[in-house]
Amino acid sequence: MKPQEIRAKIESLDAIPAISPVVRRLLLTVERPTASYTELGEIISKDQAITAKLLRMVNSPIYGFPGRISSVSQALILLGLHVVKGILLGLSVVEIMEKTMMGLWEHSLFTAIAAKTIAIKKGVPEPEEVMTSALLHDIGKVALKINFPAEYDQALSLADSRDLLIRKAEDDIFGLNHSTAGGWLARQWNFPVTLAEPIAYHHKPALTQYAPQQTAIVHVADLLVRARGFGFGGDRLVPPVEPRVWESLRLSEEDIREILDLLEDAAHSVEAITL
Amino acid sequence: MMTVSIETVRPGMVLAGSVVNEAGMTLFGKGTVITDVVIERMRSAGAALVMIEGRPTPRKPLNEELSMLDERFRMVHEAPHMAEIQEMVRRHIESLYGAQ
Repeated sequence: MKPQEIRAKIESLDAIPAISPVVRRLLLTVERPTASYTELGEIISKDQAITAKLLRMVNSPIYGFPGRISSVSQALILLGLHVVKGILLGLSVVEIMEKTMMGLWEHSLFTAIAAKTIAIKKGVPEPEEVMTSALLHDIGKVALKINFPAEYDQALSLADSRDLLIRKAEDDIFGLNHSTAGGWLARQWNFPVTLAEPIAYHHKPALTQYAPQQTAIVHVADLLVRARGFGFGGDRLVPPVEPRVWESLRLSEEDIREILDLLEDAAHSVEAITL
Repeated sequence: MMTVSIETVRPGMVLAGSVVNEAGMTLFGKGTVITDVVIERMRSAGAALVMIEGRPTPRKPLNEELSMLDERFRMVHEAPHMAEIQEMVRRHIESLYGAQ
C-alpha cells in the first residue's frame, strides 16, 4: 500500500462514518468570533445524543472542567471551539474505538486526564486543549482500522505474536503509523497546530515545531497510563520515554503520584465516564 | 473517589463531587454527608450515578499487580529514566494496598 493512497482515504470526508452530519459540519468550522457561538451551539444541540454526552462529560468532576456548563454554547464560550470540537469528535468515536480495540477509549480518557493534570502543573496556557489532543492522540488507530480493517487486524496480531509495540507493527504493515494518520485527520479538521502536533508527534516529540510542551505532555501522559496498566492501546508494553522530554518536564515523584491517584479515581468511576 | 449507582449509595457516605439537576443547578455540594433524605432527593432529581469519597479495596493481590508491572516494563529496563518511572509506579501501587 502506498502512503498517498492511505492518506487519500483517511482524508476523505467519510473516513469515519460514525460522525454525525452536525458534528462533521462543526469539525470543518474554522475559528469564528464568539458572537456566533450561540448559533453554533444551537446547531449542535440538534444532535441530542451527542449533546447529552458532551454535557455529561464536561460536568463530570473527574475532568475538572470549570464549573457548571448547561448548554453547548456555554461550553463553546468557556472551553473554546477547538476543545468542544475535539470532545465531540472523541465522543462520536467511542463505539468504534471499543470495536477497534477493547480498552482504547479508556486509554484515551485516562491519557486526557493525565495530560490535563501535567499541563496545569506546568502552567501551559490552554490545559483543556492539551487534554483534547490527548483524548484524540490515538484517533489514527480508529481511522486505519475503519479504512483498512484486514490490514489493521494483521498489525494487531503481529504486535501480539512478535511482542511489538503496536506502532511498530503498524509501521511494518502500513509503512506509517497511527500518529501520522492522526495528524492528517487533525489538519483536515482544521484543528490548530497546538492541538494537531501532539497527535502527530506523540511518539516522536522531537519532531514538533510549534507545540513542544503540549507534545511532551501527551508523550509522557500516554506512557504513564500504560505504565499503570489502565486501558489498552494495542499492546501491553511501556515504550521508552524520550529522555530530553522527560528531563524538560521535571515531574517530581509527588507530581507523578498525584497523577496516578487521579487515574485511580477515574478507574473507579469508569461507568460514569464511559458514557 | 469512586462512582457508585444511586441504588448502592448508603447513609454515612460522603459526596466527592456535587450532584446537579438537569438544569445544572447544584443540589448537593462536595462533602455532603449522605442521609436518607439526601438519597431521596437525589433520586427524585434523576441522579443515576454519584461520586463518593473512598475507594474499594483492590481486587488483585499485590504481588500479582507487581509482576504485571514488571511485564509491562520488560522491554525498557535499559532505557534512560525508565527504572525511575517504574519505581515510582511501583510505590504508588503499593500505597493502594496500605501498609503491607
